[in-house]
Amino acid sequence: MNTSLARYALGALVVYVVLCAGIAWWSARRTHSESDFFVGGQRLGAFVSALAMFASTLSGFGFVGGPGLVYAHGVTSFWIIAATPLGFALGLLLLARPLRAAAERERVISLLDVVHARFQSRPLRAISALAILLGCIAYVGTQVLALAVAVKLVLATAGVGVSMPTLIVVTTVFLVAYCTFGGVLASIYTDVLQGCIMVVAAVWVFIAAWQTFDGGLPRAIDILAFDSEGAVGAFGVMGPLAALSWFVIFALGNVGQPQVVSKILMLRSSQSLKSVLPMTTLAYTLSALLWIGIGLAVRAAVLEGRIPALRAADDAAATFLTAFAPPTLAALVFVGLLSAIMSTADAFLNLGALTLTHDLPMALTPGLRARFKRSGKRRLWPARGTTVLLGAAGAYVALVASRSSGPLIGLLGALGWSMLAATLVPLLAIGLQLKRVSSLAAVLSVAFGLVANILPELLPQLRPGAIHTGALSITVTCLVFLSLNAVLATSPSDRPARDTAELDLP
Amino acid sequence: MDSAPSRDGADNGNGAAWCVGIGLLLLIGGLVVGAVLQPTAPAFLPKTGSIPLIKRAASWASPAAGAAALGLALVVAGMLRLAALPKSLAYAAALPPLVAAFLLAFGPSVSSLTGVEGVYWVLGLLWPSAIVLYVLAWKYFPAWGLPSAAEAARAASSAPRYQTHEMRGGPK
Repeated sequence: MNTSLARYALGALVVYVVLCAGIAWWSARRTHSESDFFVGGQRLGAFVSALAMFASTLSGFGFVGGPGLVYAHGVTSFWIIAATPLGFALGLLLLARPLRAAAERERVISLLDVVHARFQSRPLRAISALAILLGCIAYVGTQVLALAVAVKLVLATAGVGVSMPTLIVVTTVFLVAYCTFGGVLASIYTDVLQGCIMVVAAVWVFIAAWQTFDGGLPRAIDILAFDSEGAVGAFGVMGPLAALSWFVIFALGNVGQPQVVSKILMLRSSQSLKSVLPMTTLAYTLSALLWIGIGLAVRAAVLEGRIPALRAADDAAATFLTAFAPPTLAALVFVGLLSAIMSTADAFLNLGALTLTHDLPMALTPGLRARFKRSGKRRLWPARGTTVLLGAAGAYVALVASRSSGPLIGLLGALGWSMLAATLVPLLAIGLQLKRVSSLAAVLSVAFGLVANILPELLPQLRPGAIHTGALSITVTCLVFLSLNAVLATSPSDRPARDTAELDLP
Repeated sequence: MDSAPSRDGADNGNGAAWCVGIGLLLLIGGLVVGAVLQPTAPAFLPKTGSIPLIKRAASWASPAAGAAALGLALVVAGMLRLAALPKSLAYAAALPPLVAAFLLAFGPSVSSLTGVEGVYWVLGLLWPSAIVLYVLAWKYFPAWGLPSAAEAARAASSAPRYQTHEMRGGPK
């Protein structure tokens, strides 16, 4: 990164921070209750919800890891991009009805409120909350680390040297500050800003990548095909099993991402769902152009000898910006990267605080909510306090991870998307829809989902070779739940669970 | 013609659950068999010269992966029917996994026959295959039983709790 580029990036960073701070201040003035803090008072419109849903899905992985995957493995990772539109649709189609019914009739604020209404099981609520909490800490930790690394890179090119621990603390303080004061409103509206930045940056990058070659990206594909037909084949170099694994993880897995589907609870009206689905997918599709464009262009440029081979595949995005993009675009992509990281992190900070202050206490202490309702207490400050606590936990994880190259990084990865999917997809995609359900089957399947994701990271010999662990854990956990439920829910003493439209909330 | 979207799956609950179960078995079976047949493929950086080996192994694993994707099609269609959504939506949701199954099983052959690289099939066929689903979702949202704000308010204020069956069953 040259000096002028660093200057542009620093300028963009300052503008971005000021905008986020302004949104946080504006949101703080509108946050007066627990409902405001966690679900934005359930008054969000379609555009805002769609952008927030998309922004909390696309993390820094899409901006850095995605192009790196294309560079290293060819077309294989395109299957993630192809699966995500199906994933968004499945999530909304399967969950819109039970979640909207709950939101509009009972003003529930948590996904697990709906699960609890269906299964009537506090142990299930407790173990599901634990899974979500683990996922939140892992996500916040990895996002804080990624944020610190990105800022360090820009500061270093501007000649400013700051240590990683300092950067982790500073970025966490900023992140936690706007989430703490503005609650989910700050998170959502910064997500809208961040989502817009990501889309604009991605489309611009795609155009720049196209212009890098005389014949556009088809020329880049020809260059790749000449070098290795497999790289631009239907499933890339990693083979059909890896492509299918990713397809499964991102199509089915989307239904089990609480940071995404809980946005359904925040909508003002069910009518908005009509527009949310296409808007979310359009935004994601446009952002994915960055992934495709940079990955193909950098690999083809290396093969043509225009730039030297990369030391690491994840350098693809930075290399492209340095070699082929104007400084303004590079600065915008840098802010887009920060946006992608922060929008995911703030969604999980809010979700984690909700789990700690609402779901876990209600699972462990029966009648707690009724007591709060009777006393008329506002639970805003506990929510803010736990946001700070969770941010501190995330920063600690990031600090430890920054000093470790061992299994911690892999473990953090395992505790992310796939674990949330394996534990929650059976409950949400199947459990909420079945006529009769067994809470024991649900508890056992969540426990199985946790173990199936964590154990292979601790014992590498258990990893299933060419298949991604997540794909197998999601599908097997669904089968475990369905099978156990078929056996356990048929007992005459097991009463049918209530329809989720007939909620029995505490 | 879509069946009426009965919410509680009285008519299709068992069939849909079986569809999901069989689909999951096929999906898991395909993944496991395919993993046995296909060795873990290395990245093509740095150049290893192992591409022919990968292609050969992949040709054995492809039918298994294709079968697994058929299982995924059954799973998603079954889940949507389990949620008592219209049949056309369930079929449309099965379309992307079916396209995936086709590409996984026959992708290299189709590329050889047509001279069109697989990347174009993925970007041109698989990526937009969810559009049918989106068109149908646009048509049905929120007609299949989601309460409007007014309905929800009316139900909450006038009907006894847990007895608001007018929200069930969708359009009659």
